[in-house]
Amino acid sequence: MRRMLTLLLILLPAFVWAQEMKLIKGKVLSESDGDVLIGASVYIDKATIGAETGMKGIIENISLGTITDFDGNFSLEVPKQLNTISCSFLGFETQVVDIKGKSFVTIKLGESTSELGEVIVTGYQKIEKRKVTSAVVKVNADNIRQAGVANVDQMLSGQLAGVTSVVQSGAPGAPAKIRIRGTASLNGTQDPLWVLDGIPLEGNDVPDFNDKDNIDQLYNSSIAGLNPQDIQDITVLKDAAATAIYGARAANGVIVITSKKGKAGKMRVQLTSNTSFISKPDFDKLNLMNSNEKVDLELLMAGRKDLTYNASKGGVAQILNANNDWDNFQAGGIDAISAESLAAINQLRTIDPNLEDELYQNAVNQDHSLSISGGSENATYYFSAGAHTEKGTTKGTSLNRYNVTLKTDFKLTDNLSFGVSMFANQRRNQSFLTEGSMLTNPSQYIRSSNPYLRLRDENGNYVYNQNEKGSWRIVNLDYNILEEREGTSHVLKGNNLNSIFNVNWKVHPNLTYRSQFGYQVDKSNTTKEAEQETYFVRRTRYKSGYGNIVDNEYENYFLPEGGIIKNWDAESTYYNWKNILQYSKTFNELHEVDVMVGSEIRESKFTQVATSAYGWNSKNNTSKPVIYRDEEDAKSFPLFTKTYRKNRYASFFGTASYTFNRKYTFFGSVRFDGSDLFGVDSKYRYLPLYALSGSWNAKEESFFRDVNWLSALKFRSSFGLQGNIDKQSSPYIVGTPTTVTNLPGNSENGITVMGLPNDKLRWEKTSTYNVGFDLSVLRHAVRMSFDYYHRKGTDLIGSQAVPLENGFNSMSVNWAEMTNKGWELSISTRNIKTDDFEWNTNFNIAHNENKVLKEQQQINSTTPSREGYSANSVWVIKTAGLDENGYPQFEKDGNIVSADEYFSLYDQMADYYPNYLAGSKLTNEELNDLLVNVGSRDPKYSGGIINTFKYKNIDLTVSANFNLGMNVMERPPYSMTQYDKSNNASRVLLDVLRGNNKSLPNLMTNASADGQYWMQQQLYTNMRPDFYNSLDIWHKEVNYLRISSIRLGYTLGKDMLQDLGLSSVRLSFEARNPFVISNGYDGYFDPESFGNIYAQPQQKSYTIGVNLTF
Amino acid sequence: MRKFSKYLFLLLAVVSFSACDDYLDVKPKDRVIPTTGEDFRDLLSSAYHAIPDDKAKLTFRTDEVKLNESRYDLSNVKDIYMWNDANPADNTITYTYDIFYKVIMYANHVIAEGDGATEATQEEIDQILGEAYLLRAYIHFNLVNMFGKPYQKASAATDRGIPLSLEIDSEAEYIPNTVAEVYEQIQSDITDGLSKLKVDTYATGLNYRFSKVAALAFQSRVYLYMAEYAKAQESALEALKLKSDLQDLVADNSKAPHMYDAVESILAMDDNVNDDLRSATYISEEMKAAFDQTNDLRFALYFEADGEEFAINKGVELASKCTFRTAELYLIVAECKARLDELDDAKDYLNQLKAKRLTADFYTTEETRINALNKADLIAEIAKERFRELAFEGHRWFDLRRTTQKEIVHTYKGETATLIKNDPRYTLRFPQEAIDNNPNLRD
Repeated sequence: MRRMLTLLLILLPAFVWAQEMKLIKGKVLSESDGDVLIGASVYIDKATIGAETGMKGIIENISLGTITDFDGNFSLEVPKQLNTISCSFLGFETQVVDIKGKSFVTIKLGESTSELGEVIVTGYQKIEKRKVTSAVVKVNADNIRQAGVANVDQMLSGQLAGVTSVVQSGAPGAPAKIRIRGTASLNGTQDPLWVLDGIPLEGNDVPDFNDKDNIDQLYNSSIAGLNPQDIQDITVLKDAAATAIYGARAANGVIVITSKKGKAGKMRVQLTSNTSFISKPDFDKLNLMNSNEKVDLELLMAGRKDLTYNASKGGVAQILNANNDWDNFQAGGIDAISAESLAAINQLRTIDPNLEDELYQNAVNQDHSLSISGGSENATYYFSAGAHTEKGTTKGTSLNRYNVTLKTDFKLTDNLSFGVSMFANQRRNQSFLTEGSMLTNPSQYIRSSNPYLRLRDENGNYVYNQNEKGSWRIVNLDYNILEEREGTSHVLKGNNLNSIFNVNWKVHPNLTYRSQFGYQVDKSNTTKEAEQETYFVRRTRYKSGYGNIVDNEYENYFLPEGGIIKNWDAESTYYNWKNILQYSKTFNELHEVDVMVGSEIRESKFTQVATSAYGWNSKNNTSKPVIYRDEEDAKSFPLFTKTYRKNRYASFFGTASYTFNRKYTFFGSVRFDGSDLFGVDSKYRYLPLYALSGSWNAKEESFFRDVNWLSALKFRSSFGLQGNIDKQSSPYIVGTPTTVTNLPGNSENGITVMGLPNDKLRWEKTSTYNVGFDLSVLRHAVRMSFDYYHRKGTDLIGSQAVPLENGFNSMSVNWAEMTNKGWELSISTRNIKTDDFEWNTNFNIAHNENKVLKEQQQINSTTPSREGYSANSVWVIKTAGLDENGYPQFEKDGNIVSADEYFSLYDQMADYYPNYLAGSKLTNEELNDLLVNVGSRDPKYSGGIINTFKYKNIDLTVSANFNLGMNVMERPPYSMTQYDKSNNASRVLLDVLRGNNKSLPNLMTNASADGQYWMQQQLYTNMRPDFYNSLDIWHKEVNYLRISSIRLGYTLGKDMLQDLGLSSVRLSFEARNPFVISNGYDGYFDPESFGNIYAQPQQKSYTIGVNLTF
Repeated sequence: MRKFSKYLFLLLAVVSFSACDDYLDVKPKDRVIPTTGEDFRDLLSSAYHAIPDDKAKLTFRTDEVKLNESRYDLSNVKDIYMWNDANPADNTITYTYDIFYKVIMYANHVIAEGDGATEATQEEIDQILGEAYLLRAYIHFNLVNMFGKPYQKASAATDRGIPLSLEIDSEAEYIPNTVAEVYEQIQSDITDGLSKLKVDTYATGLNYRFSKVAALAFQSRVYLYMAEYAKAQESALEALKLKSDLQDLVADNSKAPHMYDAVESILAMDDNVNDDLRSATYISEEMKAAFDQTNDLRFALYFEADGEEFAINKGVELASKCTFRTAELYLIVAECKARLDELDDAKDYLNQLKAKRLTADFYTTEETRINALNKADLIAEIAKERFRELAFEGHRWFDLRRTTQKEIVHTYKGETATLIKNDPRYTLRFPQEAIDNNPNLRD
């Protein structure tokens, strides 16, 4: 290499220097903030001197070019007749500068948005974009940052082709569910791997918040601890060629975050402050009945003698029963009942508990951030501090976060550098206790609580609800949601420290050794506290009761009277140590070779100590002793538990890249992942994963070189193989040690078996092909990237139901073969650019098609085989309208038939007990085959559109994301056979009972229409309850476009700034989630959560912000 | 060369964590593959611990209880009480079919692998294996009496029983065996187990484990259910040789005889009363009427007054566990002898028990009455004594199945349901989840 350079030095100047020379001086600045750029390359473009030389933009410190000094200045000797020089700098657009007749030029470089010459950071390597062969996409954090949003994961929605991000709820700090190229794995996590400055972040698997068991969880992911203001850019690795280097964990894609670092130059102080106003949810969307309507509904129901299901429930029935008017009403209607009943019922109509205002509020959020950065040639620094406070729109919930980040890089010697980063944050997430009953969750409560139930009486005392499922089994435990909010608290405090140490040693000009050590400590403390007078305490204590029950009270309780406090202290520590050796060399200026080998070890440890105290008095911090009867009691209410886990991993990896003549690049990577599998066949200890890819930089070809309109054209193609094995499965019986007490006073060791032994499980393999191209035309005015991918998973591991006679209800098996095919397109256009006005558009769209090729049907499946269909298929029972009584009919052989006939129902015990037990003559499979596939739950197309306008000092950004062609099944607004009057329901039910809605089914019991529907009633209630939910009446195809953000900014003019002593001031206003354009999601808050009644609405917010730079 | 070695060193540093396998050998605290004798004992301890309390659920179906209508909401048990198996409310408690088979799976693993256990004497291994056989037999016995037809010698070979699970094989097909097949397997497991068991009787505190006396008591109950009275009597007498004490309530009325630490406890493995049963019910009118409330010393021990009604006082705590006790053996011997026309001996065994349960004066009256009974009345009287003595210990439903299958009427808030004589609902339907996961169980 050195010899080559010498040759170059000798030859090229000889060619150039043959001419007369002149000296040109100048200064290079950043266009956006006016900072000087240190180390920018200023050079004579090879094209201008007409010689086939080295690499464009790469200056090997020869006199063809120079780099700027510490003040951004340069001087360069050039041939006298030369008219232009070029200037380039990492992360900026390369500029060709006219120097005709000039001896001094000031060059202002604009920041590049995403182009060649840029560097892609994979976390293991930095790859020049021209050499990238795989599907990666990079976005600048400034472009996606949304004011007032706490977490970076929430900002990705609609920004990148093939990346979807759905916020799980409107609760403060709620995580977003991110999917890259659809759902890859069917077993285990589907979340992508987050990487911060090269070190994977641990603890980011997002639980399923649509599950009612998780709605109350306070959640502490490590990504949520990162201050978005500290992020420089985000790179998403999508295909196997890009992710293989991360091993098995990267099967769902990788998101690499590069944090900001100090730049050499003068000190920069930046202050950002945002204040957001969040409006409370709009409950009109839910279309719930008010008191008057609910009373009407209950009267209509009471008037129908056939509606015997839970007939005594609901306010109206209670009044009628209390005054012995029930039969009178059924016989003679409203005129036949007593005056007291009538008055009481009319009284119900007037009650309005105003739940919305009791439970929800408009909220104000604050977000402040300060950063100081700068440095010298030998050291740079970046410091930032951030504070984020968020009040939930649900009263009683809030989130506070404080961040401190410190990052320094030292150049110890010419070939040795060292860097340290520290990311520290503290979070406090506050809520109240809503566990114990799904009704205690506010978003569930407001949907199901009867509108005539007061929360407080005239004197302000809590009114307890006798009619709701807050009660516990056979006794009625008083429940009031306000009392619960006042009397309980649920606080999650998290302290996280993430430190990263880097050493970079240039052993030889071509050989670099890098070592990176990351250490992450997450400490969290969760406290649940409840006062004595709360449902939470009543219910907990009730469970400790024994003896007889008298007046709703047990004779004895082993838990003492008083409050409850529970505390969880968890500490997770992770370390990750990477050692990498990289060799790069260019031979003959044609052959560029990069080889990297490395190893990585990591360990994770988790310790949690949980303690509980009963008889808790929060005023003087005391508790009372618990007098257990025996060990089983002690086990059901443990006072102390400890959990400890440790896992280790070791991996080896290598990559090699070869580029020929700047046109053709080949890339390969391989990785062996080892982990501490226990009880697993040792042949599975190391997982091999590999990828191969290549690219063709067509613009470099001679036939395109002079095509001026074509700015860049590159083709890419890749193949990768990833593997996975289920670490929970073992060919042996594996158990967990435990303690059991079979008789009093005799605690012994026990072993709990974890699953069935499984020796037939094979590797799960996923192979991914990706082809794509990047095209840029008209001096980058239109840039386009297209990728087509085909991912095939074979021997997919899934949980399969097995006969209960095995002792378990499921086990892992290789159950399916599945493909994901799709394409992604992103287009950025510079529509208009004048001195004063600029309009840019970013558009991305992605299509993914999932198909199950082979499937081992679940034995308890309630759908036909999905072979040939999407794994997320929607299945419906086709109906043919309703009959004269309002019940579904079906079409069979061209005739309209009843459910009895369609499902071949018959009276199983006709001889013995007629009308007792219904059955179907069809087998389960035949019943399943009545379900028809209508498409997939996944959207056909999804993507985003971002428009940016700039007029003088004003800028406007409008971001939108869309999903088209999503099949959804609405959760029926009421149960046809088991609607419970203790709950409120949608207005549509009232319309149905009034006969105004002839398209939705009528309520039914086995007594309806003289009992002629008794078999159908059993079908919809017990035999196949899924059939009611699958009626095509509930099927919808949803398309929507959500305006996720409208941002208006104003940047103060330079002249004004000088007076203020500031280098930049920007004011902004942003509206988030202002509206949605959709084909209808009636009865639900958002199209994203259509059909999910546990979802909290996405927040609408308005933010004003100011950003100052000194 | 020096330079070369520098690179070599670097390469080694990067690529070789030579001790990598050691690095990955983390012995997890939370996982173990059972290999030692102690491990297999631990597995058995967990298996005993897992036995579900389904006998309490069955009690709702018997004539022992009535629902306490003052309770707030009984919708989770009402349909069991009303034998509404076809169309129960969605929150109805379910029978724990899967857990029974989980216990069997543990036993199967011990039976299959326990022989090779390390760090254990042959004697210890044999005892563990013997217990596993008996546990498997006992669970199959419970299952066949819940979900299989009652044993009838004439039709057992064709009557549908339950699937037998004898080895761990996730690919096996489970088709319900006939009642005869199930009982044959139960008998052979008991014989195999008895040949291995080394412990005659376990000390109090460990008496949740099968000992020889427990195995014999179980064998006797199995023969009784099969109406093999001679064999049942033989096993019972064999068991009584090892243990024949009865709790003497006349001398000391402080400890109920079903308690695990009562002198007559043989095996204390089952929870027979759970919270659902205890708090949702009062004892039935039949139960009330069966006792002389003042002179039968059991009444005050078993029940607790709540106004006009009586609640079950057989606790739900660990100490109340009971599976076999000597009183049942006395009653089995009495019943067998009565059915085998040995009336005097039968009366003797019955009276031996009564003497420990009734006040002295009342016993004298009873003795006279018993001694005058003819065969049919004596058999009925013994059945009634079982009803009293073994109340709420999970016997009633099974006893009704094997004997009269009589008519029972239950009412709840004005609704009436009747279980007619020989009602097919004396056999439970397989739980829906079990049918879903194994279509062979369909009706």
